[in-house]
Amino acid sequence: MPDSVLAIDHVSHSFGGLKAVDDCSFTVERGTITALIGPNGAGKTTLVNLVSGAIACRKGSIVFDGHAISGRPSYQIAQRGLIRSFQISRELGSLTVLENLLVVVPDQRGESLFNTFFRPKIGREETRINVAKALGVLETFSLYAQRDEYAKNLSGGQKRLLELARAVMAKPKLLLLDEPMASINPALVAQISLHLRELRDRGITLLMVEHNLEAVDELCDDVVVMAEGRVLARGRLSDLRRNEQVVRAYLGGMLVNSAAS
Amino acid sequence: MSTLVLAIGFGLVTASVLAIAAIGLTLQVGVTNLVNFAFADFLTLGAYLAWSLNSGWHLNFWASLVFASLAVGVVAVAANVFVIRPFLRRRTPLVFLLIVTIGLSLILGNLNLAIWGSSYRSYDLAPQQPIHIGPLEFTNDQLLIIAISVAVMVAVRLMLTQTKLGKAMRSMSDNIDLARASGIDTDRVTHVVWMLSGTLAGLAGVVLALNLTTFDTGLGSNILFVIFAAMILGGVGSPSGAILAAVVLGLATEVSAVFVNSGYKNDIAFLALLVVLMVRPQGIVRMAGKN
Amino acid sequence: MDQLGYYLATLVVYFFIYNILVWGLNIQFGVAGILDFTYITFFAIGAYTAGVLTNGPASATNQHYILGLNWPFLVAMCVAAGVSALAGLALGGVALRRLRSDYLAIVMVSVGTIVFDLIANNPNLFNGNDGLGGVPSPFNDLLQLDPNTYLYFFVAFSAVIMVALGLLAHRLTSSPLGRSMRAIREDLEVAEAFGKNSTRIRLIAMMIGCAYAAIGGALLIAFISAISPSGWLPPETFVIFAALLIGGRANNLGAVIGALLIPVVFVEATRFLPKWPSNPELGAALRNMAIGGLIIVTLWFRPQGLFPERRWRWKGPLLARTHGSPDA
Repeated sequence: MPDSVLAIDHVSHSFGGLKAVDDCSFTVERGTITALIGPNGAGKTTLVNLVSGAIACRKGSIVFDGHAISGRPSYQIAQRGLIRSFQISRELGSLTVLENLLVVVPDQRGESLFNTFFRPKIGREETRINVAKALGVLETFSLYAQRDEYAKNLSGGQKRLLELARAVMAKPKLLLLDEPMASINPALVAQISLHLRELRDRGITLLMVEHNLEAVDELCDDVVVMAEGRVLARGRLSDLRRNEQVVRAYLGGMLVNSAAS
Repeated sequence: MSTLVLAIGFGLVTASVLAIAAIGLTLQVGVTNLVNFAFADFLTLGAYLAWSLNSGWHLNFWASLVFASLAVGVVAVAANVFVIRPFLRRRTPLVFLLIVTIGLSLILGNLNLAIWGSSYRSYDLAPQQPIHIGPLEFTNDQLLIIAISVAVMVAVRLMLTQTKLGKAMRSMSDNIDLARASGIDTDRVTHVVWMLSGTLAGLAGVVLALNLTTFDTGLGSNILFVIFAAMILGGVGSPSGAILAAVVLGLATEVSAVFVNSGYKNDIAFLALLVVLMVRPQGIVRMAGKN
Repeated sequence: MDQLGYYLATLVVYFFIYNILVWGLNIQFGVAGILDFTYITFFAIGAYTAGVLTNGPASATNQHYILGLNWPFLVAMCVAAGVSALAGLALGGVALRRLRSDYLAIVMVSVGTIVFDLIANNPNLFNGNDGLGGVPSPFNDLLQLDPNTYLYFFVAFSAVIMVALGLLAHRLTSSPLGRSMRAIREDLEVAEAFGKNSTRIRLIAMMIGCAYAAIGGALLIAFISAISPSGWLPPETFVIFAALLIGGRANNLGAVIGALLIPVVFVEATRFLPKWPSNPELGAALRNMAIGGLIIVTLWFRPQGLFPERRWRWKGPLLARTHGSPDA
C-alpha cells in the first residue's frame, strides 16, 4: 500500500477573477523526489503557497502526513514538518549565516519565555548542540567559511545554498522546494542534486517546482505536469516527453530539445 | 431635540472639513503607499499662513485661503523631494520611512509653534449671520465651507475620471509596477499628488480653523487620527470612500457629543476604526492593507 | 548637599529611568520590530497604577482617585508592570494581527489617545487633568530620611532596579527567543514558514516592553511624587524613539548611550537657554525640531545608530562538528 505523505484533493484558488489553481489533485509518495513542472503561469507557485499555508486554501483539501492542513496558518503547517524554500532567496539578512540555521530548528525549549528568564541554561545547551549540527550542515553546503557573515552579504549563489541549508536544518518530513536550481551555475546544480538525493536517502520526501529539465530527469522519480491551473499529466519524464498534450502545453520547444540532446 | 439638530448641523460642517483632508490624504497614500504622519502639520501650517496673510498683512480672507493652500502644496512637494524621496530611492524599509515622516512632523509642527507661538488666533472676518435651512442653522461661512467641500469633491472626481493625470493616479494606486511599465511618468504624477494633497491639507486647515473660530498649534494634530480613520474606513486610495467615511465620522463625532462628554468626540472615530480593522481589515470600499 | 549636587543626582535618576524606558522600547521595536507609537501610554499606566496603589485613600486628600491602598512600593511596582503588560496584551491582541506597520501604528496611537482622553476626562479615576499627587516616597516610612539623604537612597535604589532590568534585557536579546524575535522583525513570512508563531512571539515582546515602561513610570511617580497628563503627551514616545535610534537599536548598550544623549543631555542642557519673552514656547519648539532633525539625519547617515546591533557569535565550547545531517 503506497504511503502518500501529501494528498492534494480538488484544490482551487482564484485571484480576483483569475483562476490560478483549478481543481488540482495529486498525491506525493513518501520518500520520493517528485517534480512539479509546467509553463509559467501554470499555477505551480500558487499551489506551493497553498500547500505551505502562505495562502489560505479555501477550496479543496490538503492532507499532510495524515493531518488536514488546508486553511491552517503557515507556522502550524511548518511545525508539522512541511518546510518550504522560496523561489527568490529570502535569507534573514541582519542575522548571520549560522543564526539563520539556528533560528529554524523546531521545538526549541530555549524559546519559551519562562526558560529564557528563569532557566537560561536550557537555551544555551540547546544552542550548543544546534551550533554543532548547523556547522556540519554549513560545511556540507560549502558555507562554513561564511558562518559568521551577515546573510545579506552573501553572493547570489551562496544565498541559494543558504536557502537549502536552512530548509534542511528545520528537520523536514517533506521539503517543498520552489525552483531550487534557478539562476545557479551548472557545477552548483550538480552539487545541489547530490544534496537532494542524500536527503531523499535519509527519508525526507521532496516536492520541487523546477524548470531545469535535465536536473529533473536525473533526480526525480516522478513528475507532475501542470498547465493553466490543473494537473495535465503524471509519470516519468521519459514517458511524458512522448505525451502530445504535455509537449504542446509546455511550449513544445523545451521538451523536444531535451529529447533530442 | 434642538441640540441634536444643532449637532447634525455641526456634523455636516465637520464632515466637509474632514472630507477635504481625507481626500487629500487618501490620494497621496494611495499613489505613494506611504502613510504620512506629517499630514497634520500641513493642515496647521495652512491655517497659520492664512492667518498671517489675513490678520498680519490684511489680505482678504478668501485670497489668503487660496495662497495659503497653494503654499502648503509647495511645502509638501518639497518635503517629498528633499526628505522622503531620497529615503525611498535608498529602499529604506517601511518602518523607517514612517519614522522619517514622524521626524518631518516634529520639524514642521514645531516650526509652526516657533514662528507663531502658542496663543490662540482668529481670522479677520465680517460678522456672521445665521442662515436657516430647514431645522438646521448655519453661519454663512459654514455654508461656504460645505460648498467648498462639495466643489473639491466634484473637482477631484472630474480630475480622476476625465484627465490623463487622474487616470495615471488611479493606475499607480492600483499597481505601481504595472503603471510604470505602461509608460506612466510616475515621478511627475507623484509630484502632482503631493502638491494636490498638500494643497487640500492646507485648505482643510484653513476651513477647520474658520469653523473653530479660534485655533492654536494643536489644530492639525487634534484631528489627524480622525482623518486617518476616515481614510482607512473609506478604503485607501478611494476618494469616494473617503467622502462617505468623512460624512459618517463627522456626523458620528458631533452627534456623540450630545450624549457623552465632548472630550471623547474623536474617540468615537477611533472605536469605529478599531472595529473595522478587526472585523474587516480590507476597509469598507477598498484594500487597506495593500503592499 | 549643595544645589548642584542635588541637581546632578536628580539627573542621574532621570537617566536611570530613561534607560529602562529605552530598553523596553528596544525590546518592542529594536528587537521585535513592532512600531509602538504609543509607548508612552504604558509608561503612564505604570505611573498611575503605582500611584493609586501606594497612595492612601482619596478621601484623606482633596484629590479624586480610585483605590488608594497604601501598598508598599515594590509590590505596587510589580502590579503596575503586570497591569501594563495586560494592557499591552489587549492592544496587541487587536493590533498585532498581520496589520502592516503603518496601520498598526495608527491603531496604537488611536488607542493611546482613547486612554489619554479617558484619564483626562474622568477626574474620579486619576484626578483628571490636575494630575495625581502626594505619592509617598518608597521605603521612607521605614527609613525616615531627610530629603537630601533620601535622594542618595533613591539613586541607589533605582540603580539596582535598572541594573536588574538591563541584565534581563540582555538575557532576552541574546537568547533563542530573542533570535526568533529578530527573525520575525526581519521577515515575518519567512519566520512563519519555519514554524514561528509570529503573533504570539510579538505579543510577548510587546508585553515585556510594556512592563519596562510601567516600571519606569512607577519609579518616576515615586521620585517626583506626582504625574499629570501633560507629562506624558504623545510626542514623548518619539523622544524615546530618537534615543533608541541614535544610540543604536537592538543594542542594549546603545540604548543606554541614547538615553544619556537625548532625554538627559540634550533636553536638560537646552532647558537652561533663556526664554524668548514674546514666545516662551520657542525653546521647547526648537528642541523638538532638533530631535526631529536628528532622527532624520541619523536614519540617513547612520541608520544603525551609534552602537549598531552586535553580531552574534557562538562563544561557548564547540562540540565536534557532526557532519551532514542535523538528525545525527
